[in-house]
Amino acid sequence: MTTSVSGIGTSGIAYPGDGTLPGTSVMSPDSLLAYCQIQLGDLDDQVTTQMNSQQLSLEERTAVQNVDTTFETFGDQGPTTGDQMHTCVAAIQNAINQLPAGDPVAAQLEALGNQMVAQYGYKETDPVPQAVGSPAANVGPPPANGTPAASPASPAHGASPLTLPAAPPVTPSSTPVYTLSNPPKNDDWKGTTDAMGNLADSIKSNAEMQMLTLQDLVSQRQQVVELATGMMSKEDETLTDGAKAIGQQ
Amino acid sequence: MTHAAITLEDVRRALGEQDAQLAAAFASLDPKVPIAVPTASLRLLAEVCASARSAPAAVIEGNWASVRC
Repeated sequence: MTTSVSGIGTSGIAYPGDGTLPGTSVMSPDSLLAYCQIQLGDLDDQVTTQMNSQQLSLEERTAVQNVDTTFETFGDQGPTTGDQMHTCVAAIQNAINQLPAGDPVAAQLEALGNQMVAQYGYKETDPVPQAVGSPAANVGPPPANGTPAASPASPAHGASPLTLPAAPPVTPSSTPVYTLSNPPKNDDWKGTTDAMGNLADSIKSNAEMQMLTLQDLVSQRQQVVELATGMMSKEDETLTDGAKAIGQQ
Repeated sequence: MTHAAITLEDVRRALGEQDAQLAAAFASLDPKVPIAVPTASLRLLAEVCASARSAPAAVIEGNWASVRC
C-alpha cells in the first residue's frame, strides 16, 4: 500500500528561477493518471469487496425467502403429512445448494432443517438398498438455477448434510416414503417460521449495514475523483497565474 | 421519513459516472504537456484514500467486537 507521490518531479517544465512554482509539483499527464490509479486502487478493491458482499446477501435473502414462501403455503398449522414435510425439507436443501461453499447462512439453514426434522419426527424411507441409513434419501429436487442438487453425502457448501432419521429396512416401493410421527401442534409451526423469519431479518440488517459502508466508500471515491478532476481543470489556471507572476518579476 | 432504497445498480451507475468524469478530465489534457499541480491537492487525495482504507475496516469485516459501549 503506497501513498508516495511516484512519478512526480520538478523536471519537465521550464520556469525561470528554481524551475517550478512554489507549492506545485510538475508531472506528465500519464504520471498523474498513474498516481490517481494507485490511490484509487485500494479504494476500488474495498468497493468490489463490499459489492460482492451485497450480492451474496441478496442470494442469501433469496434462498431464505424461498424457504419462507414454501413454509407459508402450509399456513399456521404447518405440514401435517410426511409428503408435506418433505416439501419443506427439500426447500431447505435447495436453498443450501444455491449458496456457496462455507456460507454461514447455509449452515444456519442446515441447523434449522435438522431441528425441524428432529422436532417433528420426519422420516424418509428410500427403497434403494444403498440408501438404508444413508442421508442420500434426503436429496431434494434440483435447485432453480438448473444445476443438479449436490448430494448430501458431499454437499457443495462443505457443511454436513441435513441429519436424517435412520431409514427403516428397504420396502419394495419404488418411491421414497415420507412419514411424520410428530406433526406440528399448537404454535409449533409458528416457532419454526419465526426462526426462518429471524434469519431473513438478520440477513437484511447485515445487508443494510454493508450498503451504508458501500455508499460511504462511493462518496469517498467521488471526493477523490473531484479532487483529481479539479487538479486538472485548475492546471491551466495555475500555469497562467504562474506566467503572470513571472512576468511581473 | 422514508428513504429510497439504494440498489447495487445505483452504485454501479455512480461508479461508472465517476470513471467517465475522470476519463473526460484526462482526455482534455495534452499528453505531451507536463502539468503543474498543487502538491497539497496530491497529498489531500492520498489522505482521502488512506482514510477510506483504514476507517471502515471494522464495519467491512462485520466485526463489532472493537466497538465499546
